[in-house]
Amino acid sequence: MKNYFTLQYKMLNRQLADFGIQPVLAYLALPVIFIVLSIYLFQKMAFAQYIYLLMALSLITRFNDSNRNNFLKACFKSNDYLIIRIAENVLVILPFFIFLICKNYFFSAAILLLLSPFAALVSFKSKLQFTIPTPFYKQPFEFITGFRKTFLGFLCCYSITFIAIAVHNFNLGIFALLLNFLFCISFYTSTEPDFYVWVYSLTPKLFLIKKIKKALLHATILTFPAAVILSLFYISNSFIIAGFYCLGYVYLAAIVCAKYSVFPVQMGLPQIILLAISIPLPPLLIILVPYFYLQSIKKLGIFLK
Amino acid sequence: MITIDNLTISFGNKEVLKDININFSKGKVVGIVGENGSGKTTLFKCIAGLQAYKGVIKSEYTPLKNHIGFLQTEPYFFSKITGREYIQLLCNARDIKMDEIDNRNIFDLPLNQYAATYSTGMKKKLALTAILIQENEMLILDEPFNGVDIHSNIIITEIIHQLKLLNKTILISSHIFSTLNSTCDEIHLLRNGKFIKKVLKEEFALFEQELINFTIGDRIEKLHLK
Repeated sequence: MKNYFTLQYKMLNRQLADFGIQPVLAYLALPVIFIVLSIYLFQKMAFAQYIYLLMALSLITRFNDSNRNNFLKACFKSNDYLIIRIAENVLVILPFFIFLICKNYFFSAAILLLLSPFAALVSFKSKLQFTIPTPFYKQPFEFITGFRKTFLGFLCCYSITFIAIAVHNFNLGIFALLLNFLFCISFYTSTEPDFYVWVYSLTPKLFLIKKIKKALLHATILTFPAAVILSLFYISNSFIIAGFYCLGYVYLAAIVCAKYSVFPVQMGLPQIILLAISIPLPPLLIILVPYFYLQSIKKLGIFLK
Repeated sequence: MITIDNLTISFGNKEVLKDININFSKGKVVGIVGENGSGKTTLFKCIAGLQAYKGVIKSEYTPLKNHIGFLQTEPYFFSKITGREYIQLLCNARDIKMDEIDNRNIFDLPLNQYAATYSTGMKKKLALTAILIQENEMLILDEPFNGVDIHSNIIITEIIHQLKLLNKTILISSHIFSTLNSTCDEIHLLRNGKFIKKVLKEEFALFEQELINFTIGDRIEKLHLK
């Protein structure tokens, strides 16, 4: 069992190194970032403890992949397997648990501590054979797979839009619209195997333009109704809605270019930092999009000669 | 005709392929055999244009990659894409108009199910169906018989025969000699990144015996099985 956790530690170090972060720095910075963000969350939100609880539990569910657990079951004796899984879950929730105790949310902390070993005993493998219909059939994979994975998220976004209208909160409506775009952007955060680029009989330029066009078109299908509904109830703010909508388009184009700018490697810290800086400074996108675009053409040239 | 001249590829200090020279003619089925790690898949990736290399790969098709159907050893499928959508994706990528997909579903695959939930053999059959519908001039089949049931093995063998009649260029790697015996016109033996032997159809039986003798040698005796 000690070997297992040593191996996990080594794997984590390798993942951090691949991501462009020195492991030692990460171990020093992560607790500080965690504490700062936690304090910020509890200062800004009335229901922070519940969000905190959900965040901790969602992290635990990442360890509940049935393939991973079947592998562990095959490797270890039943008792050892249970100890490993419970130890993993407790380790993950420990920082959240300590912070909740420090904030005197003893009830939430107790729930978290009780749920974490329980989560180790259940497996969440979907037995559902149903194929979720998508309007993106016959199109590149990003929106087909992305929509099926996050369609509940879009339902939430539209619910928030209606709540925003009902409670006369325009800012909440804009938040829902941007959340819609964020889901679309998330479809482009992971890199596909090189085969799925190689198979296209297109030049790098045409390939990238096709990808951007499709991304914008498909995002429109998912986000435009929300923008229209919001505009109908806030006609005087239509220009603001249009402005945020255009910004959503630019970020979508930026993420597509950023993804292929390092292809076939996964987007790393430099790309993420540049995109993160552009959130409070949108004019930076005027430089970033062409930069990522040119880098992408170079990288795609290897596979699309 | 596809001609490979002086193809060399290294990963760090290790030369994976060393000065490879070979021709692949139209209407011929060429088998590539070799131990695990001998460089078969790397060679296929070079021909497909998925791997940078030193040397020259010439062909009448420009660019060659747009005329190749590549069946990988372990085809990758996205987690929420159906078999039908996968075929559609590969056809769209090559601007192939795809109709009557159900009629061309010769392996009776459940095309409306997510491809990632398919068994190993079904995944291979789906990937093969997609590249066949693409109507490529050259087919690179990296272990096409691996994990596939006996009925599908028979179908794949027949497909290869038909493709040969259609004057396609076909490259196959397999670890099952009988499948190469029934499909290939010639077999090339790759060892440590070099082609060390070319075997024509009439010499296959002799080559198989040589391969058995060389491979087994005194290895089994060393195990001291009791």
